[in-house]
Amino acid sequence: MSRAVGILGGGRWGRTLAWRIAHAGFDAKLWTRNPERVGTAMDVDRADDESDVEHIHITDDLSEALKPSLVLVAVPPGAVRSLVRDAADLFRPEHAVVHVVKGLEAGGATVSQIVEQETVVIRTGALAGPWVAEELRHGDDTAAVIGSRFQAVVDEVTDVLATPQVRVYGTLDLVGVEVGGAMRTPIAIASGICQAAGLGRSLHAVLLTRGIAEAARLSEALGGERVTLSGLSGIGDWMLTTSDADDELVRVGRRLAAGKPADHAEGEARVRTLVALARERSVDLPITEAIGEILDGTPPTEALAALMSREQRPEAT
Amino acid sequence: MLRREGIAREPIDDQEVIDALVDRVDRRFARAELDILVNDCCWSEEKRLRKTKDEAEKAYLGRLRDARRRLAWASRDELRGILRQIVREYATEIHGHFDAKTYGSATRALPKGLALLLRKQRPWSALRRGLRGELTLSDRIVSSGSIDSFDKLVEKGTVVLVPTHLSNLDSPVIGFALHDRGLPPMIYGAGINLFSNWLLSYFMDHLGAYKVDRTKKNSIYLATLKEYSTLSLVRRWHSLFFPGGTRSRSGRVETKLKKGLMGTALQAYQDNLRNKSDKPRIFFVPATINYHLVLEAETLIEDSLQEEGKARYIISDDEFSRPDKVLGFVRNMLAMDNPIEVVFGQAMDPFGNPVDDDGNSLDPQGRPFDPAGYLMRDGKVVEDPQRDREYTARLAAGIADAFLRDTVVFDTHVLAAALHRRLEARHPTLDVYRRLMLSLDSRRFPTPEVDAELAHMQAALRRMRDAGRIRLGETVATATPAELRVSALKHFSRYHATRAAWGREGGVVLEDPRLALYYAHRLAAHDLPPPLPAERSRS
Repeated sequence: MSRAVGILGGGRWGRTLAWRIAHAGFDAKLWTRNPERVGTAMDVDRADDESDVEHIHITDDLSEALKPSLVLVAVPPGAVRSLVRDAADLFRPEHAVVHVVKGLEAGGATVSQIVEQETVVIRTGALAGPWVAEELRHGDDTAAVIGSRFQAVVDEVTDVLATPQVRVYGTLDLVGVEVGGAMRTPIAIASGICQAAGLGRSLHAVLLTRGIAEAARLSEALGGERVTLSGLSGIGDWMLTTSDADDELVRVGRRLAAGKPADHAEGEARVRTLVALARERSVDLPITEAIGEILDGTPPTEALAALMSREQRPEAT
Repeated sequence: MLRREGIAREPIDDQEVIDALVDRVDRRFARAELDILVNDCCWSEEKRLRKTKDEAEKAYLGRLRDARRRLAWASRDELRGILRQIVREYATEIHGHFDAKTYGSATRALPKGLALLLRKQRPWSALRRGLRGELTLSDRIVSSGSIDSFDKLVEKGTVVLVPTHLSNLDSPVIGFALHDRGLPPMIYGAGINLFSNWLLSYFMDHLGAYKVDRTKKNSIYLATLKEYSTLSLVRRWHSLFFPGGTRSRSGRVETKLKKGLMGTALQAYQDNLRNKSDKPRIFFVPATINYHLVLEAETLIEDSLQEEGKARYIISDDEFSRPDKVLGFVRNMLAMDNPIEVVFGQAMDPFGNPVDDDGNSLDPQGRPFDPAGYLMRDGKVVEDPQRDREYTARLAAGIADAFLRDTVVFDTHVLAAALHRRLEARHPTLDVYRRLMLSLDSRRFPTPEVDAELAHMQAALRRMRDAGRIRLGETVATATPAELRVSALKHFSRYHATRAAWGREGGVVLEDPRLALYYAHRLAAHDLPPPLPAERSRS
């Protein structure tokens, strides 16, 4: 029997990871609350490749999905704690738990912190990068980064996911990778606002680079490294997101620019969490704060004017 | 209950221990470039001892020079021989302190417990006689916390006691606390310089101290030291070490801990699992040693405030080098109410998880689990030094948290902090170093101002105590600010050459701001609210 990988979550990313793992010759044990619906979705997904199907096992039994020592988590950030808490007695010390979740819990905890707070698992990691589910599914060339404090986890995930079409880079800076994923939300919303308001390409470039600066500050305050934000999980992922007119967070920005409500509870919650976390840690996140104010009703033009009139300062701060 | 066993369950065969240690270090360097390793060691020792006049050190240097001359044409086997010779010399020095003859004959001739009991009681009886008329040490050194758990865990596996470190008195104090509560003695590494102090040497013998020469920085010596710690744990010798590495110079509770020796527990645990030891588990017990006054406070804070503080890693000329000072201090201390409190914290496994009384690691929901899986892959123990460093960092963070939680705050700490906070409130633009240079006139405070700050701090400290973030001495917990102030000033008047603070009618004078800063630092890591504003507290 080939080596197996557990996957928690049968959404788009859970299914995509299952396909990639199966394609690499490993068994994918995909847990979902609704195996029937996920099975149907996977029938649609597999349009052009039948050979990997036998390696994918869809189950609603968590104990089955948690039998492998490597487990990938692909559920929304708000659902992680209850899921791992309910399954806490099924996790074992030998588990490595790696997530693809972008965002923090409402209280500011990262997904890896939640896993460590609720289970015996210490070896955690985060996988991120400019991935497009459909492209990954169809074998297009791309790259991602796995962040974990444990080199063995980096090696294990690389072993499972790297193929001639997928380069997997590694870093021991888990915090930096998770911060890049979390900061993607305000940056994507801000990008949508810029696009809808017809603001120039120059401002868009400023948004990304100053966004990196503030994400780097947050990462450092949380024990991560600044440089990680300049990699695939930071600027790499943001370039992809902000260039995608159909991205749901970019669309939130568009709606806000048009004076309409955000209509995206999770995105709003993620921004507010970042604002609260930054205040608690005394980290300066002006763009994120501005998005928070816009969500609270401040007109985008007013928020932009406030941003542009901030005190002049050296770039490297 | 008095423990029926001592440091070891069997008589210790020194030669066998040294042989085993040499073998371990030899295996550790199995893939090393031995000529470079030995050459570096020789170079480092040559540099360290180039001006020595000590005959033994000169002879040692001669042996190293001889080894160095043979390096160029030595075969691999010959290089191993040279390495083993150097390691044997270090192993003998480190372990050699154990008096096998006395220890062995005592344990063979008498029931183990009685032998150890006699060994235990001699020094304390002597001290009691020397302090005739004073209260007993049991009344003066109070120990509390998870003592019952500690008592059970020594039967379930190997215990590593990791206390805070403020004073050279810590070793005898913790030794007495262990003895007093019927806990077994522990081996521990003590600076080689301390063996020249007759008083401390006496207690170190009782504790089972082994010698650590902090001036030796070469890789072979450091590896020998680490392997000795691992070997001790594998042999189930309960061990003690101070994870702060050295006495806290500033008086702060240690938050950055040295992980080298801590990490040896993981190596020992892996050895135990591979060898299918019947009691493989290793438990860390954090402990805080809390004093109203610290013998060496004046020297330590001076060292901390000077840039060369770090360079003076080993202070050989502090108060502790003068037996008259030590005895004077002990006499004064024994006259106080509860002058020293030792708190034993909840035990942890080598991964930082809490441990129950049965030695089970506990998950975040309090359910027992076997932590061996952290080291395994496909059912086998896997070596992974990078992984182990991360686990040890997690353990260190857990111990640092326990240090903060189990710190006992006494009136001397609170008054010292209150006076420094008043200085800060009055001079918010000055940094701490400039505040230390203010004139005596600037360091006089009206009593109402001091008492208001004390009340402000006591309220915050009591909230922190209720949240389990700190422990409070009785005066801090129950007395009024005025009572606390009087008590602290009385304590400050007891020992130090200059008082940290003294009272006069209607006011308090911060006489020695550096010494007071040392005591104030005990609260530095506890996130107290800002001081009262200058205007409000003065009105």
